[in-house]
Amino acid sequence: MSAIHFNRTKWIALAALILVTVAAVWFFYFRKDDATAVRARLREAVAFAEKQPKGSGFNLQGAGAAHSVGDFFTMETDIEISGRSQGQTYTMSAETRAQVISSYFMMRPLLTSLSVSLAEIDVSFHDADHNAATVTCSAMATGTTQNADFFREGRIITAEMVRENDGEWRFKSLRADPVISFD
Amino acid sequence: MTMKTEEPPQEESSTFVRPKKKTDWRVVAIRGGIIAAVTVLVCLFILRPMVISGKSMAPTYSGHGFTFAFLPYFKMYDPQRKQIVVLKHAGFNTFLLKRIIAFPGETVEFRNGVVYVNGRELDEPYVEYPCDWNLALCEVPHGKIFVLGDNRSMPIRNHMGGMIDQSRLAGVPIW
Repeated sequence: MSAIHFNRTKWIALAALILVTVAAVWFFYFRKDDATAVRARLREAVAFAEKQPKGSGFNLQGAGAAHSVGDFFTMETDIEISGRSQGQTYTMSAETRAQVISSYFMMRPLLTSLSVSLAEIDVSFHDADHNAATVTCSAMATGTTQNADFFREGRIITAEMVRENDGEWRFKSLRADPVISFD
Repeated sequence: MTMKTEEPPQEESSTFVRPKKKTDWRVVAIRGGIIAAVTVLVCLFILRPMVISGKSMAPTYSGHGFTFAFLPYFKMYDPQRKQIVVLKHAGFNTFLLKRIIAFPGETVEFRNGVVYVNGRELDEPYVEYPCDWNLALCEVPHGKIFVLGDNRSMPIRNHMGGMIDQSRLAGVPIW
């Protein structure tokens, strides 16, 4: 077995490689700037939706028990949802908001599994202090229904978010448009 | 004068064995790494392998199949009407295979299953299954294109087609 001999140049190259790797890991996983915080909040909301109990049969008009939507969406959040599965834009009341939001993320009633992946996340801030932002991204939801049908639906998400006094980012509005539609 | 006859070469009685060359695993690893890196780069940016599932492009593409999307195509050429294109759906792993019907500024309309672009019937020999779609006249806005699948046998509301951002044009299938 041949031994690898390190001269000074190789040590420097190795150190540079390690530094670049550490910097990349920090940049992509540990950096905490405002845009990263907004993205993280969006991902949190999606993870929350994925973890919701499935198969409860609720739908947009459902009279089922209201689902907790956590603190991602305040009661002041304006939500506009359009798409083939919903077919129209819904105006929500405080009583139905939870179901609507949950149904949107569930995409369809009677799911047995749901996975949502976000991509192309773009964050633009409205003010110099970075306390208000617009987030656009594409979301791909995949899962299975209780009929064992596989579904895959894509949406373009546009969210208005603001940073509250406690430092948390809250949704002020959430708009979901189909990627492709006849409208 | 005597002729010298050449004798055929005699077979050597002894056999020489070459010492087996030792495999240099570093070279193998470097070559393997380069090949893997080039393959990944080609698949990510030039020829994206794609598994086709779904029947929205039948009969041109049946329910299941495989193709490559040539991604730099629209950096070199403009999209053409009736061209089959690969469109980014949501994310980086799902693409749509559709046919371009109309461009920004043009009008599209369906009357009893026949598509009209700018008021003129579009000849579509690739559509085999009859349909009865009706769609009110609409103008393709700036920055969008109008695409459809070849399979129109389902109700229009179940067909994934219509306006899509032009920026989602990803490439063309190579077969």
